[in-house]
Amino acid sequence: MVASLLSKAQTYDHALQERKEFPPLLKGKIVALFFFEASTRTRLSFELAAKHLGATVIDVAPNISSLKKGESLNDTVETLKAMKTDFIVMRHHQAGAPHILAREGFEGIINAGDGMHAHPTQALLDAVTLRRHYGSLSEKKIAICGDIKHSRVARSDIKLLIHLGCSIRLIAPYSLMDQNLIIGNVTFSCDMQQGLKDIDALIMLRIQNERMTSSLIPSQEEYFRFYGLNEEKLSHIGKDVLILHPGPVNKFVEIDPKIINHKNCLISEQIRTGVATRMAVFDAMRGNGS
Amino acid sequence: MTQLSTKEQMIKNGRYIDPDTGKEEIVTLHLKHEKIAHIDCQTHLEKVGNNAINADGAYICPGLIDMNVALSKNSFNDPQHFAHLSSLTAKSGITTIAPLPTSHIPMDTAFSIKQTCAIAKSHHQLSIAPIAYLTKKDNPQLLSDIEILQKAGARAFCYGNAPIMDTRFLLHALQYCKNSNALIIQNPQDLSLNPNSCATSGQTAAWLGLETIPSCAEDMMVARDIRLAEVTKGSLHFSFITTRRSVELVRQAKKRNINITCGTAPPYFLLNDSATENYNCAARLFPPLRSEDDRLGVCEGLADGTIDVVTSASVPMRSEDKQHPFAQAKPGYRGLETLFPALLTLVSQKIISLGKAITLLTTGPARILGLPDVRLKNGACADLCFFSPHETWCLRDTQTNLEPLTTPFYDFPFHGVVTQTWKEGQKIYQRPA
Repeated sequence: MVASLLSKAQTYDHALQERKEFPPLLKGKIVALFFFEASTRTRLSFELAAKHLGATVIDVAPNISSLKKGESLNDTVETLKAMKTDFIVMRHHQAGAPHILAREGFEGIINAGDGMHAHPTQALLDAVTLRRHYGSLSEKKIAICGDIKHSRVARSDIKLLIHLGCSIRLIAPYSLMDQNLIIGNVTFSCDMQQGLKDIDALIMLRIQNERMTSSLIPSQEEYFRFYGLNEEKLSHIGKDVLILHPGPVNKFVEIDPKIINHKNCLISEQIRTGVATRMAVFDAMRGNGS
Repeated sequence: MTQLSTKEQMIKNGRYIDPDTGKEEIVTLHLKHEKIAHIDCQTHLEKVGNNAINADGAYICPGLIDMNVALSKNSFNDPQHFAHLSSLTAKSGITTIAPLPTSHIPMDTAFSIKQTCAIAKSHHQLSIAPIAYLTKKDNPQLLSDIEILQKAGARAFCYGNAPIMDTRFLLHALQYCKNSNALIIQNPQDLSLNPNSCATSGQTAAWLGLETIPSCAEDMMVARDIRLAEVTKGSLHFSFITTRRSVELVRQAKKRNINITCGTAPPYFLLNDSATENYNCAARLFPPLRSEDDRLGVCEGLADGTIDVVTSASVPMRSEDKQHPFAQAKPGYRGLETLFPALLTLVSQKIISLGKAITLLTTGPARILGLPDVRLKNGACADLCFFSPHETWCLRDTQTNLEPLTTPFYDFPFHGVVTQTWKEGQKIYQRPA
């Protein structure tokens, strides 16, 4: 399933680069974007992916829909079902929210990020991006650095990249780490310089201030000094490494802006592969739901 | 041959397990009015007569006591609600409950306590051992009128199901309650470690991305409160002990003769945090489910007598309360029907003896709450529970009102069923044939 999704995404990615027309695989299908949390790239990416494949896209803004008037999540989904909506792309601040809808029998749920739990399409697009450069990811050493504790991207990346044969090194201060995530081929270092040794790629994570309820780091300045990526730290690695970031980037918190323009920084490429990956997800789910 | 009046009944061939000694005997019970007039271990059948009820060797124990149960809003002011509650307790072998005070059943005045007990008494189905609020309704910083409420019938004092977090307040409460030997019930969870938590820290919760609280939130509170009980020599009961470390702290404190007791509930000795996989909201509880090692620690505490009582921890619950993302689902479950079978399941696993299972639901809670001796003996109240300890069953396959989301035990293979319940000498439940 994963292998076929990744190769489908790669095919769409080539087509996007060559600005090809796409077959209207979702013609007559309705895709509802149901975002309870702010999002720019994920939301636009899903919208574009659905439109490229010919779907009708509707935007259910929870802030201005009846959800605001006290309607439950299930009630809104019942409405969407009655409108013969084929896919609900859902982002929610609570872990497991899409599972509730799936349990209610709605088959076309796509998780666009739920709380601290998972961001499956981000992990897929990260893998697609890395595979463009490395081909197979087997035996690759990938570091994930930053706010691991609150990151759904980290959880999904760890699962997928281990599945693809990578080893993972998590880098974070202890207060932004959850030791329970150390499984199988996952190791941890609180020392960024140590953690970056011998890696092939580095996924930087955003500090999730919105999920922090107490002081987990002393200041953004101190954090940047020890866990922010700059040219000096990059030079210590001693070899070319690919740099990814799911965005949005907090400049001078987790990353020096100069790094964004570095030749090995793939942030823009991730945005493009994001659209291709989501097209592959729609393609795979059409007709059978999953 | 004994002639029975209309106010008398004879039950022969009952298999009685003494909760304290574990001694098993075939007995004949002579019930008169609401009491056991006479219990006889050597009664000859011909002496008993044909009009006696033949228990056919069924196990009989005192009616069960559930000392931690939350009730729905109208349990006492709507006869239909009370009938529903008492039919559930009867079906569960329970003849006495200690309802938690809540905002709708506050138990914060002598009048409300007396009235609640009187309503229950008038129905002859269920006795109430009232637990009152430790603080005044309109000012949670002030102690309730402890002795006035005690005289009205309050058996203990608590903060509902919430922990008493304020150390200074608890110190003073323990000191004052010592005047009249009033018991304070504490649910020992230091929520300041994460007020938004909905799961115990561990691999399951980490991968589900849930807000967690470490199990030391309980251990630390238990350690603190044991010390307060030691310093004040006050009476303290922990409603839920759910971690290995807490069990050990209580075990050591008891060795030092500190005046504490503790309880736990079936989810904490039958399930672990893996029950929350796939965001199973039925397993969203407070305290949250713990690790397998903690579950085993609780089992050890039940076996060696560190844990004094098992309660259902039942909360009124509808499926709708659980149809939310895990963190937003209402914590708790409906647990009356599974209380005794949960312990009988531990008996079948040879973790505890049958005598111990009965103690944990009868003499254990009676002693903590200061209720009259519930053992079957001459002059005792004729509250009885008949049960079959070896039958296996599953909620999914039974006629029950429980919906899958309202219990974490929907598919759990239980051992043991309640077959009859008697309250004050009258049969109030008979399992359908």
